[in-house]
Amino acid sequence: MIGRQGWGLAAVYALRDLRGGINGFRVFIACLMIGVGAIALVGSVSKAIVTGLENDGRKLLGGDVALRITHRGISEEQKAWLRKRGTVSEIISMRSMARGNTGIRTLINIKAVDNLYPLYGGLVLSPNLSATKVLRKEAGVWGAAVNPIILDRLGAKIGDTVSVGNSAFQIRAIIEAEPDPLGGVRGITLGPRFLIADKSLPDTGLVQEGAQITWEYRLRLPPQTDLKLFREELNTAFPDPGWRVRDRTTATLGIERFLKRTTQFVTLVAFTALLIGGVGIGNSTRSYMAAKTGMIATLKCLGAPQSLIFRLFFIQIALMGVVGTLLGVLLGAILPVIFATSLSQVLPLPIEVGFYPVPLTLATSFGLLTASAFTVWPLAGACQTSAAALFRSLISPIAKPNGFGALLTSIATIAALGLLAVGSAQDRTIAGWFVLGALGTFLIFFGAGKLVMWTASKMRGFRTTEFRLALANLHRPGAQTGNVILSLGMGITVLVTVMVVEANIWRQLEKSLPGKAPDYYFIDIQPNQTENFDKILKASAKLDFMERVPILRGRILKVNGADASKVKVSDNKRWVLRSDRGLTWSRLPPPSANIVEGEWWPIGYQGPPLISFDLEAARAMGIGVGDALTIDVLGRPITAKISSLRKINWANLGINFVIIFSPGVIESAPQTQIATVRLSRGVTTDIEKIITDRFRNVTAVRVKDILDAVSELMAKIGWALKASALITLLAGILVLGSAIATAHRQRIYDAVILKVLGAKKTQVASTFLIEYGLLAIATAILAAVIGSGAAWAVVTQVMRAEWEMAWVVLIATVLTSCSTVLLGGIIGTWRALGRKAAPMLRND
Amino acid sequence: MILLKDVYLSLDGPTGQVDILKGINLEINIGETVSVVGPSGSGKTSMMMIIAGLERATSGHVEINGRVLTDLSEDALSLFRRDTLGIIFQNFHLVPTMSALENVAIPAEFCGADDAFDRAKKNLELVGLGHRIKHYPSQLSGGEQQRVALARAFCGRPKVLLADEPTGNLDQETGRKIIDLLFALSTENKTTLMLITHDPSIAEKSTRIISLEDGKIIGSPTL
Repeated sequence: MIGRQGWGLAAVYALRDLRGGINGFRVFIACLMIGVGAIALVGSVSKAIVTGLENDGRKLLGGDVALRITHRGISEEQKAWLRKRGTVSEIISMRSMARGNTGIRTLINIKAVDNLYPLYGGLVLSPNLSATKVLRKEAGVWGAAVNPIILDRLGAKIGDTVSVGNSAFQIRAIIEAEPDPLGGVRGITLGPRFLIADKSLPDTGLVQEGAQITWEYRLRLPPQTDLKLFREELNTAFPDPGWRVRDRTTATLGIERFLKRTTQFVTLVAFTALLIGGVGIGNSTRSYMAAKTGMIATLKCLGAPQSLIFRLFFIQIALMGVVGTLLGVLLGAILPVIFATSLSQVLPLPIEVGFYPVPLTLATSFGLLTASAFTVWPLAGACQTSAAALFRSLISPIAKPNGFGALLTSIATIAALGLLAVGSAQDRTIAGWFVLGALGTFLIFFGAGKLVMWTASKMRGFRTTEFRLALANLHRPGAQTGNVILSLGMGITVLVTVMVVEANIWRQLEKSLPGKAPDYYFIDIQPNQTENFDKILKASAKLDFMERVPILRGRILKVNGADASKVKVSDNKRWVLRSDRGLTWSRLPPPSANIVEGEWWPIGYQGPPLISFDLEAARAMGIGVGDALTIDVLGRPITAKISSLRKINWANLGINFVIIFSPGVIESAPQTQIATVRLSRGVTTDIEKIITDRFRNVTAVRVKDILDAVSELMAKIGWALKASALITLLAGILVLGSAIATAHRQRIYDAVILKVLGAKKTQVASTFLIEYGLLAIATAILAAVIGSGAAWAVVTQVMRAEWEMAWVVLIATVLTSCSTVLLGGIIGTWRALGRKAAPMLRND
Repeated sequence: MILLKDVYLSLDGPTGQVDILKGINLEINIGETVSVVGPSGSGKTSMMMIIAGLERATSGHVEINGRVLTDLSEDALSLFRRDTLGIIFQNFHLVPTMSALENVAIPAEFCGADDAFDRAKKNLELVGLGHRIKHYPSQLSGGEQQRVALARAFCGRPKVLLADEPTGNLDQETGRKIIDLLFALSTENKTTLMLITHDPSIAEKSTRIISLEDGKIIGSPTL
């Protein structure tokens, strides 16, 4: 009869039993909600941004198709071809210096636009005027619309005149919103926007041969245009033209790639939080089932088969799993809507806030699998509780489940969790390592918990009662030692990893400033200005060093004859092939060059083109010395053999080029020079003013500004990582809470018995303090070691940066986290100390 | 009928094997009421657990109403208990999250009886708790809880009722009322009753008293 009604009757009993409340499930639900919520939130925000980018592809790109080329504009023939197919808007971008009336100057990002700008979307200016009206020449002065930062830096206001190159511009509006920030939507941007009319550009004198100028041609095509077909026709009409083509469907791929990668890392950290929460889920289930031992035994005595008992509690736990998961999903879905405005301020990207089923389904799957993985074992154990317990008037601890069924189910669900984490990641290799690392750490802490309990059981000969009792508490049956070490250890490990990695990056940045890094870059120095430039610079200030090299831009077209777009290259070096790169030529190896393979060309070399190439890029592309690259330099394809590979230290912020040509290949091409300068310590001469006053076309970039921009980006990424790491710690604290709750009754009993036997309150408190202190020390040492190891792996293997142990950060993180453990433990047990003995003893 | 032949029970304890029952031979006929007496640790409860199929004898023959328990699986034992046994505990063991009515209906629900709640209500009225059917265990006194347990024990119409010190947690007056009720219901339903007690006045109410000491029956005088 039960078999027939099995699930129905079990459901009725499950619901009846839940009328007693869900007290036992609070931590269970909270653990699931936090982990699932974090995953759902990250997924929803990421999807909202990706959708925003995809929907606004045309607006962000500024056209249906955009052609981008450096150093020179396209030919009239090419323009005519484009104009036949749609409306063409031309935009020229470059960096320069703006000088205010007071002599203050600042780096700016010039965007010179034609009357058609913007083809799509709206440019919002304040005051609300049209771009044509703001930018036109009035009373002999050109107009400009600027990012308000420029006004701040120059101490200027609307109506003031600033000079750029050889021309003056009146600032007539500030830019409230730019419709086409692509190109500006990068991790780091240097120089705020300075919008001017293209017709004003010749007056500045900035457009010189070889200067770092980008021309962009944006097309508005008829709505029915097949973009793929259009690009094919364009490629046929102009093979190897030296431009980079993007269309509205591919415009945001770069940002999306970055976004997906960031999402992946944050999701994996959230996944760890969920794993830690899993310990809390398992613990809560165990406590709940322990509280139900009497009921289970009673039902068994009344004739309930094990299957009915299992189904009854399975339904309850599944219900709680669904509730916790749904609350998490709800949290993840609602938070982006609530904070949409704040989000759009933090992330200058189009965010299409909405309900996205895919990330929410993924978070749901993570939640339900976690709930299954961590509940099957205690559930199966509890269902095997002997009904005989009722007769003996003692409730024995939940038995370990017999048979492989429960074990296999647990292993299978944990494996499914891992596969889901890897399968849903963008970079499955990294995700795979992460999951293995997380599971490995999980096992290490699990083993450590057992080891601490075993060690505590073997430690003898302490005369202090408090110490002896504390040790006994650590290893007695039902002790929560293992759970606390596992969950908090995992949480603190993640936090330590994130904090130490971040500390390493910051240190790297800080070290760059006073150390080897230059103070200034000077760009767009014309070849005929180099002599005077050197002379004035050296006469103006005492320099530690100065390096000046030619710079051109070029793009790798072919690798050993094969199309570069078809070459397999690892993700972290894809940028080398993606677009234009700065390149140079040199007779002698640069002073900082570290040639690890091959040889530099001999002095006076006159032979066929050779290049010295970046070692890591070569490794990523699977090429080496002797292989050939075809590089487009100003529309001219040049094939050169790799003669040497250099290990480049990008972190020194010096002049580093992926490609250096041998002499006799590109010297005659239009080019400018770039210089780096480091002033001697204590020198305060304003060489930025001296140089840019003397050479109006030269732009000075302060390295500090670059580092500030990097710091800003780092702070944003670090914020996301720290937030997710804190979630893992929160999950750990929740588990600690559940562990304390599980042991609470036992604590009260212990405290009462000790007091009855004459122990002072302070002695009882000391026992608990020593117990949690020992737990904290064991957890801290392990978390510090594993967290530092993981941080070392990230810094040296993933980021390929210099590693230095951040002791202060490590100790501060570990101490803070451990204080939390101690504080949590003390707060949790404090109530036990205050309990009066009589009622407790009467009840028992 | 309850039939135990050469029943031995040994359990593994922390200090080694403990012999609890040492060759129990017992026969109780249908409708008989039997009290089991003996000092603590003499094996009374263990013997009852073996009869309930909650503990497996180390050796010997256990047969209840024609079913040999030693051959039955765990689930078959559950079904056996459902169809044959009623159990009453010293600590009542009501399900705290279920009302009195729901607690009493459990055995009948397990049998798939459509009238489970009607039967439960009738049984509660029989034990004088018709007005407390919606109350939860925590809202009932000890005596009332044991009456609910009694009503529950009879709801599945058991052929054998096992009671383990059913008045151990009750005052004398309440305990007396419960025992009277227990015997009355057993007689009315022709149920075989086995009762563990330390109270000689309760034991004397049954048709037979079995004395246990150190895992052996030392006397089974028929009253």
